[in-house]
Order: sequence, then C-alpha cells, then structure tokens
Amino acid sequence: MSSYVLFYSSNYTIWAENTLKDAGVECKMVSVPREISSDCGYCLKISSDKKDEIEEILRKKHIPIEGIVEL
Amino acid sequence: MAFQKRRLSRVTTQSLESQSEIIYFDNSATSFPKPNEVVEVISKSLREFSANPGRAGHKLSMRAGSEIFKTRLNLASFFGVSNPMAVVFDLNATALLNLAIKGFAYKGLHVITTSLEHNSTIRPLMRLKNDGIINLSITSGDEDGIVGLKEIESLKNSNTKLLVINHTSNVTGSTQPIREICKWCRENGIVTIVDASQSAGFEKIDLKEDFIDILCFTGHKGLYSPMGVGGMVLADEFDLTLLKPLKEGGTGSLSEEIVQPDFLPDIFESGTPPLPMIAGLNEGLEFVKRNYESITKKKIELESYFIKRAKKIEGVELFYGNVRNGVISFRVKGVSVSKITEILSEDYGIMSRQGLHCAPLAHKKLGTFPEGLVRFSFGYSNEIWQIDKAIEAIEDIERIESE
Repeated sequence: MSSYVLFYSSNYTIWAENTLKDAGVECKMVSVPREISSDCGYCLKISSDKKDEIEEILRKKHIPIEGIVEL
Repeated sequence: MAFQKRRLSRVTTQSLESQSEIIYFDNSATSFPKPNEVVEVISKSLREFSANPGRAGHKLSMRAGSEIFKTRLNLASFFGVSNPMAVVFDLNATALLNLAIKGFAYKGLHVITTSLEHNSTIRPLMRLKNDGIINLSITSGDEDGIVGLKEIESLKNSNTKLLVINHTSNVTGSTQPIREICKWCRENGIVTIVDASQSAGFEKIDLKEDFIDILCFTGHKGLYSPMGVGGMVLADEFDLTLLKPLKEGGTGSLSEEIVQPDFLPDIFESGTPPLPMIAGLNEGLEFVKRNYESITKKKIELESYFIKRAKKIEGVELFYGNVRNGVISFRVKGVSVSKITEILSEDYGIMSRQGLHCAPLAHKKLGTFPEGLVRFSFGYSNEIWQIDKAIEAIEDIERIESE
C-alpha cells in the first residue's frame, strides 16, 4: 500500500524528500493527487509501512506535515 | 595641450573592446568577472531544468525546486541558521531591506541607525519617519563612523525596538563590530537588521554567534552570483509575527486559500523566483567557500599595497576605514572626481566608481559631501601589476590635470 505525505508548500516537500533520502528512507516526489487535495504542488509517495518512521524523522527536523493519506 | 595629445594617442592605441585590457576596480558595485562555474550553471539551468519551481507536479519543476532548496540549505549553513526555510529570496539586498524595515515598522517605533548607511536602508527609514510612523536616531560614531555601545545606549528610549546597521561601508570599507552591538541589542529587547551587502563573502557572519535577528545580503557582490538575487536570513529564534510581507501573491502553496500563507519562506516569496540566478548564487557561494582564504588575503594585500603607494603621491587624499578589505576611496587635489574616473576609464582602461556611492550620509560623515570621492574596490581577479598601473595613472592625472 502507498501513502501520500502532504505538506503546506512544495518548499517543505523538497526539504522532506532531502531529509528522508539522507536518512536512507525511500520516497518519491509526485504531483498531489487531485482526489486528496486541490494543492498545485507536490507531495511524497511512501510505502505505508514506513509511515511511523517517516513521521518521526520529519518531526525531529521540525518539518511540518499537513497530513498523510493512504490510497 | 600636451595632455590632450597624450590622451588622444592613448585612446587610438588602446581599444577597450578586448576584456583583457580592462582593469576592473568596481567590485563593490558588482563583482566582475564572475567565476566560470557560475556562468556554467546559469547556462546549464536555462538549457536543462529552468521550469517553474514548486508550481507544477512534473519532474522538471521538482528539479528546479530542488536547486532552490539546495541554495537555501547552503546559505543557511553558511550564515549559521538551522532552518533552511528561514532563507528568503528576492531581487537584491534593497528589496529585502525594504521588506525587513517596512515589514517590521509600526506607529510609534523608535529606530536607531548609523551614519554609514547606504540609501537602501536610510531611504526606507526616512519614508517611515516622514510619514509620521517612526522616530529615527542616527549615530555619529567615531571618526570612521564606528558605533560604540555607549552611544546606542544614550539614544535608546522605551520605544526603541529596532536597530538597522550597515555592516561594512561601501565607501571606506569601515566595518562595524556587529557581534558586540547585536548582543547588546538582543539583551535590551531591540531587534537588529544587518545590511551585509558589502560584507557577505568577506566577513565571517554567523547569525547565532553574532546575535543577529535579520540579515540582508545581495548575491552579486561578494557571493559572485549574477545580479537579480539577494537573500534575507532570519535567526532561528526570530518571532515571525513581527514581520509583515510587503508583497503577496502566488506561492504554489495553499492555492485554495485567498490569503497569503503565514509560514516561511512562502509568506515573503510570491511570484516566480529567478531560478537561474539562484542556481548561480549557489555556485558563487561554493566558489567563496573553496577560495575564502585566498580571496580575503588578496583583497587585503591589494588594498594595503595601494595605500602604501598612493600615500606617496602628493595631492592625493585617501579615505579608508578601520579594516583592510579591498575597498578604498580617494580624491586628487584640484581635479574633480568625475574627471578622474573618466580619464581612468578612457585612457587607462581602469573601471572605478565616482560620486556619492548612494551613501550621502557616509560622505557627510567623511566631509566629502556633495563632491564625493573616487572608489577602487578590488576583487579576486585583480593583480598587483594593475595597482602599479593605477598608481602611474593617478600620478599622471595629478601632475597634468591639477596644473
């Protein structure tokens, strides 16, 4: 299952992507799926079983998350 | 006239079309030439990834956004802040100083600033003063304009909540002890805005260690980017609610909202950013980091050597500040500064800057207002032989023109 991590701005999406890659956690920057949000930027597609680990890494870096949606 | 003949013969034998014949001593206005790496990355970005960053979901837009992020991260680390989002881009230092000053100001605020300010800070401050919004005090400082804590303390009142200070003068290179001043301000509840237009890339600046709240800089001087990008860096502990944006618009974020986002950097960054310039700034910063010791050593050496030689020319008056950093101004008795600059440019291929350098306050302080001075500002590509040539030129000008 895949989840989508949403951020308030693509600036944060890129910051989060860099942070996760540095931590060796797989993620992919993708367009925000329309069914989730009307935002015109990007979000991170992750494997759902990594959700907790990712939240913890981003929390430690003070990168705010708008939400995580499973599709 | 003997001089006219001499000038004409020089003009006919010396074409300035060839760059190798140009001696560029105007690095405080903008550094030139730019390092090759900077030129290359701008060209590469335009050819390969200059999509609109953060505005679309496609790969190229993400690549563009990543380049900007990389630059933010690099600058945040260079200036000693931990949050890369606290690096805000705009056109140049002027744009960001306007944002910092006008975005902070409120009715009844008392601001302290210095006699070495450039018009990029004093004009927005004077606008606020003349509109009846703020009260303003300008320090005198010592003979170089350097400010002491005693003077700041004597100007402070209960409404003093902001200090705006030019780190390094663009006229004499005089440099303020910002750590001492900003530390005192932090302890006394005064927010500091430091204009690092001239100092960034030369002086080591660390917002944390120097107690600076807001730092504004431009890319195209000591950080070797092209013109068109500057930055504002906010201290990690800065309370963002103190600063209102001056412009609002599309940010690519929270697009469903018709009000501006309230988080960094989007709150201050509306409209499409100049991606190629920002990529150029990142390469310029890398160039500075790689060559920091040699660039600073060279600027100091060139200025010291120029001072040593120019001091011996009769009729030449030098104006240099409390530190050697490659910036020096001078005048020649009996010759107007515009004439000096013209002859240097036309006859000797030496690019200098004459006049008030957009810093009338500093020239009033030096007693050189309104005539101004001729300024030489040296850069990494200048050489000792160019100083020798400039000295010869000034000797000629002094001898022939002042007669």
